[in-house]
Amino acid sequence: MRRTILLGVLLAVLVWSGTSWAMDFDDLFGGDLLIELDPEETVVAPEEALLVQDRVEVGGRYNFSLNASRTIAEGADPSNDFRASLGGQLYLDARPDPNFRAFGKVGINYNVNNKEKPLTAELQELFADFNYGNKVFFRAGKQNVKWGVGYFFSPADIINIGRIDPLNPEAEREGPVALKMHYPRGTNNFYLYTLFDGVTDVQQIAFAPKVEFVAGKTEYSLGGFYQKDDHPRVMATVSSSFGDIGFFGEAVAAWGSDRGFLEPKGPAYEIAEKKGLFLQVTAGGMYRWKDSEGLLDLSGTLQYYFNGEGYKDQEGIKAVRLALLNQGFPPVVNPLKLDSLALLGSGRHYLAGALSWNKMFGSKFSASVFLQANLSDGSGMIHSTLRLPSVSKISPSIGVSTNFGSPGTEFGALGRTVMVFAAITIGDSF
Amino acid sequence: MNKKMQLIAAVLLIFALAQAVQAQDFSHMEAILERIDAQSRFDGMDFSCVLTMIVEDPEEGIEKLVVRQFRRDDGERYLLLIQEPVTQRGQGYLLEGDNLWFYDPSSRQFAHTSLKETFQDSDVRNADFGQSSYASSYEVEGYLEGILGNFDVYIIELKAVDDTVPFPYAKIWVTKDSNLVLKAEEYSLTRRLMRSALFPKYTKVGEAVIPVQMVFVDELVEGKKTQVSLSEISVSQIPDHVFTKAYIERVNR
Repeated sequence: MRRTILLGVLLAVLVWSGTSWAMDFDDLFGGDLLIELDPEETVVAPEEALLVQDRVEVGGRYNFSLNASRTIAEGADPSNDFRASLGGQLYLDARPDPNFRAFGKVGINYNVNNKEKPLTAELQELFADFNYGNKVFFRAGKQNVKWGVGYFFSPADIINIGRIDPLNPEAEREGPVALKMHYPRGTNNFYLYTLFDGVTDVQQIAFAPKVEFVAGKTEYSLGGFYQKDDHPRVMATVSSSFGDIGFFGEAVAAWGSDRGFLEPKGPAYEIAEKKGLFLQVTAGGMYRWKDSEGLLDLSGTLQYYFNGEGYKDQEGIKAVRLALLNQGFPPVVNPLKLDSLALLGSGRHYLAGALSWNKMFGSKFSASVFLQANLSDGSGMIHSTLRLPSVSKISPSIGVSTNFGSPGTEFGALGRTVMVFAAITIGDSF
Repeated sequence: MNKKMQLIAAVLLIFALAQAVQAQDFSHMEAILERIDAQSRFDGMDFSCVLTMIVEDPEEGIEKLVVRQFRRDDGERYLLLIQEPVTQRGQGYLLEGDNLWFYDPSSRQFAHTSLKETFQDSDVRNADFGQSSYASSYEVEGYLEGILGNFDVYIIELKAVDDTVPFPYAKIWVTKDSNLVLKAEEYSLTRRLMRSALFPKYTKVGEAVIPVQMVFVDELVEGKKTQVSLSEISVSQIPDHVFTKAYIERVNR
């Protein structure tokens, strides 16, 4: 009873202070400073209660978006496009006791332009959590996994099925079917993933161990991937901060590559497998700056990526792209192997950056610009968006996208295009 | 008239000298800072509570955040788990010494973040959830005596000696008898007032004395403030596995 009265008094003070904000601060310090709040000892400890919650929970996310765009391409008439997309997620989280939990999540999309089969659903996650004496923790099933620390590029993310979309780097990525073992010890974490995607023989089961450790304000991780008849890989990541700037870096070494590579053969090229060590390295930083007036709230991310599987000489891959776009014959002597060529990600050096201006001049408008460039062939794309003030759950935005690069380059293969768009997104979680 | 002026000048001089002598004697103030830090610390015991935050933004309106906090000062650890609103439910912050990670349940990703960052666009900083470090992070620049409400206070001016605190300059109003911080003003490098914090209610938990009601005012945006209240306080021992990445992943959807 006493606790209830005290909480009531607290709430009254909060409400009162909230309704008369312009008051003298002295007024808040007119009564007793110390109040009694007896510690609460509940039957179920709070850390246990959180592990069972409501036993069964159903939730999800709903998203409906409309996008109208006009594309102006070099040497072609402008074209208009309109898309409506409807989708969402549904999840079920069952927690019969603190040491066991089953979770499933389904993604649903309704394509309004596809009259034959508009509805598609895909299993995004389905796993169970259990543990051994609250010391070793297991997750078994299809699960989202995050290995790398890179923002736009993450070559160290060697076990996920989905890849980062630099235009939407924080989006969920499809994870593997795996048994994860996690042993936390102090600030260190030891993981072992046993991976089952595409496995039809017990000898094909893949293994990926990883250790995370902290030194000072820096976190390091070391990991590897091994599967019979696949290329073994080792990776290392680092993430830290220096002052207000956050830094991250990744390095991956792979013995062999899944890709086919263009090798000059007379006047043409041959698609060949390559053995040896392939190195991929990326590093970047993030910074947020606000001026003291609250007019400039800027955040920026910049990342460089060295792709050891990329070409030093871009001429061959440009010639192949041009031929494929013009529906001609690519200049290769073994065209049956064309599928193994990587038409995207063919550069050695990449750069991506984003700059966001939140609450422009203290308003409800926000703007962002994103750049991705293949430095090896001098092509790239720029995407800028102006987010207008939201009304309830409705978020409108307008923007411009363009690309640059000579014919045959990764981002300029289709020629110079400029697209302007207006979009409305309605969405929320439940 | 001349004598009167001389008398006034002498009084002013004595007053100024007294202030100067007083301002130089900082050892008493440093001892107070150490007592503030000591009584904000949970030595040899764990602490958990529910934090209810009301964030008022003239542009965005009013938002309510409910956060479960687990805290262990031995090892400088805390875990914050967002319970409400539902759109942010499951997001978590894990502090281990100098390292703070933010967990995003939708991407199942841990990302390094900073104690200086604001918490969920409120006026609270991530550093506000841990033990105070006035004695180690600041040096005393000066002090005055004053009154705040019903309380006799020291008004201590502080300058940061390292970059672990969100603001380089601060001024705190500390009760003379109990050494509790009633009010804090925090300033930028250019000595512009950035944030004010008020601590009008405290409670004793074990040997520690902690604020159970806090108001943080954004001094750059008129009308923007965050009110924080504590409930469901517990000092029961928290298992070690709670302060791990594994626990955050387990409690999440």
